Amino acid sequence: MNLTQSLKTAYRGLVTNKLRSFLTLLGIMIGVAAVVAMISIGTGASSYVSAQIRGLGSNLLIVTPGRAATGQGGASQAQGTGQSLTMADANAIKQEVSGISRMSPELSGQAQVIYQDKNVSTSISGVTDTYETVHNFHVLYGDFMGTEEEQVGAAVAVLGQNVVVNLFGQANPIGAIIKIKNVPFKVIGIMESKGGSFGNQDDTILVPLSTAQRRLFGADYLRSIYVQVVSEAQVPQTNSEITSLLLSRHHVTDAAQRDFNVSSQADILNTVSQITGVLTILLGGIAAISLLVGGIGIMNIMLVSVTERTREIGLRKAVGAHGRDILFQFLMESVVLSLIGGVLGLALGALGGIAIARYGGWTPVISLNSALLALGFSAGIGIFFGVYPARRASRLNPIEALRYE
Amino acid sequence: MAEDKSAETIIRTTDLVKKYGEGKAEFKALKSVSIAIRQGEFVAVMGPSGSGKSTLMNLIGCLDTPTSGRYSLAGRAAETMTQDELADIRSDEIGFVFQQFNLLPRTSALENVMMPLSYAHRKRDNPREWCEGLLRSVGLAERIGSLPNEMSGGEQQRVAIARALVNDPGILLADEPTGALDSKSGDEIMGIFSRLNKDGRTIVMITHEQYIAEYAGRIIHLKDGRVESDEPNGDRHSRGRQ
Repeated sequence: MNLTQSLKTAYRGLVTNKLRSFLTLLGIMIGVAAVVAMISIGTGASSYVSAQIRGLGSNLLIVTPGRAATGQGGASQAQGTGQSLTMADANAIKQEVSGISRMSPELSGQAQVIYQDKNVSTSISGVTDTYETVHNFHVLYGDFMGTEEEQVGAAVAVLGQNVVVNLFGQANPIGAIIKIKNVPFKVIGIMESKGGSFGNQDDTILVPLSTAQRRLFGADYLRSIYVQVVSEAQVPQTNSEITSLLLSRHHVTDAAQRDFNVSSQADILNTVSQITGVLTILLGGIAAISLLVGGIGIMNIMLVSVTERTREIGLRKAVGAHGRDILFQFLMESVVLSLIGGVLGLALGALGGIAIARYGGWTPVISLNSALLALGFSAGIGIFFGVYPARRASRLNPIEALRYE
Repeated sequence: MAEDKSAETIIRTTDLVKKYGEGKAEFKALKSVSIAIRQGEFVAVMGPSGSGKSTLMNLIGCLDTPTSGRYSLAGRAAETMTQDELADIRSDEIGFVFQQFNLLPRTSALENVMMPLSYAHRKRDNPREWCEGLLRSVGLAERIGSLPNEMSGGEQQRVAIARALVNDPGILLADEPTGALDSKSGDEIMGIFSRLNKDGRTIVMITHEQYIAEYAGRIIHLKDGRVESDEPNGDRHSRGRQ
C-alpha cells in the first residue's frame, strides 16, 4: 500500500465521522495554538521590555544607597532606602572618577498634589538640569529647570503627561500654581510622553533637587545617582572606580558590607531577560499540557475507531492486508488528524499572538522555530498516541474481527 | 482461468486437526479431516452447527493455521506459512464471500470492489475500468456509484462477489452466501456462482440449505469435526434456473 493510497484511506476514515474528527482535531488545535501564542507573547514581551531598558542608554550606571540599618540585630529595610548617599558623594564622583560625561543626582518620593479641587498622589522627583539628557527624556512645552532654580531652591515644577491630564484635564497648566505637600509650586513645563513598564515616567512631577530636599522631604541624602559614561566600553572601569571611591568615602573596608550599590543597564537587562525567559517557559509549559491532553484525546478516539471498525479490519485482512498495512492506515489517520490540528492551531496561535501584541503595544514575534516546533510536535503526538491503537488494530485476528458484532 | 487444469488437485488437507482453548476448556473443532479438491470443482460443505464447517473454511482460506495435519494449497504447504505469507495467499489465490456481505459502509460499490487492489502485489493498468467491468459482469452496471445502504441484500452480495474476483483468484470461498437473502436473490447469486465455476474457478461453499447445495457438483457433510460423507451430486442443476 503506497502513501497516497494510505492518505486517501485515512481521509475517508476521517470524513465519515466529521464531527468526531473535528472535535478530536480541536484538542490538538487548541494545544498548538496555546503553545504558539504563549511563546509569541513571551518573546514579544521580553524583547519589548529589553528594548525599553536599552532605550535608557546602555552606557548608564545607577548608584543607589544600601539598606537602612536599624541598629544592631534589628531588621534591615529594603534595598535603596538607606540615607548613605549624599550630594557630597555625587560631587566627589564627578570630580574624581574618569569617563563620566554627565550625572543626574535624584531624590524621589510620593506626595499629595493639589490643584483647585483636584487632589492626586503622585511621584515627585527632585532633579537637576542634567536629568533631561541623562534620561533621554525631554521637556515638550515650556522650560526645564536650570542651574539657577537649583541654586535658589525655586518652587517650580515640570509635569509628566499623566499628571497634566489628572490635574488639569484640557486646560493649559503652564504658569498655574499647584500645591505639593501644601507648598505652592509654579508649573513651568510639561514633559514629553514616554510611557514605560517600570514605573510610569509620565506620572511624575519634576522639581529642582535642592527644593525637594529642603522643602518637600526635609532630607539631605539622595535616592539615586544616574551616571552617564562616555562609552559603553568604559562602563566597567567607571563602575569599579565609583565603587572604590565610595568605599573609602564611607569608610567601609569589607566590600560585602558596603552601604551602596552600583548597577549598570546590562545588569538590569540580564535580570529582566532572566525573568521573562522563565515566564515564557512557564507559559509554554502550561500550554504544552493542553497539547498533551489533546494527544490523549486522539488516542481515545482512535481506540474507539478501532473497536468500531473491527469488522472492517477483519475484512481488510481477509482480502490480503498485512498487519503493517492496517497499522499504517490507523497511524496515518491519527497523524493526519493531529497535523491538520497543528496547522490550524498554528494559524490560530499566530493570530492570538498578534492580537495580544497589538494590545500590549509590542511587535508580534512568530518565529519559524516555534512554528516548526509546533508542527513537529503535533505530528509527533499523532504518532505517539496513534501507535498503540494502530498496533491493536493490526494485531486483530481476522476471523474474530469478522465475527465481531 | 480459461486453461484446462481440471485434473490438478488445488486444495489438499491431510489429517487436519484444529483445537481451541487449553486444558479443560480445550475443544477440538476439527478432529481429522482429509479432503482433496481439484481445480474447477464446485463443492458444497454441509453439516449441523458445531460440525466444524467454519473452522475448515477458515483453514482452507488461510485465515487460520491448523493445530496439526497438513494443508497444501496449489502445491504450497500452508501450515508452515507466516502471517504475511498467508496474507499474500489470501490476496492472490482466494476470494471470500461472506454471509453478511461485509461491505465498507458509506463507500460506493466501485470503491468497495477496488479496496483489495491496494493490498495486492500485482498492479492493474486501469483498475477503475477493470472493477467497473466486474460490477457489470454481476449485473450491477447501474449500481456502480451506489452506497451499500442504497442497495438490496442481493445487490450487496453481488458487489461482494465482484470484490472477491478483483484479484482474479483461482478459488472462491463462500460462507453461507445466501444465508441472509430471500430465495429469489439466493438463486441469482447461485447462478453467478455456477457461471464462475463453468469459467474454471474452484468454488467451496458452506450452506445449510439443501436446495443451495444442489448447485454444487460435490457435497461434503461434516459431523463432529469429521467428514461424514463426501459424494458427487448426481442431481446437479436439477433445481437450476427455472
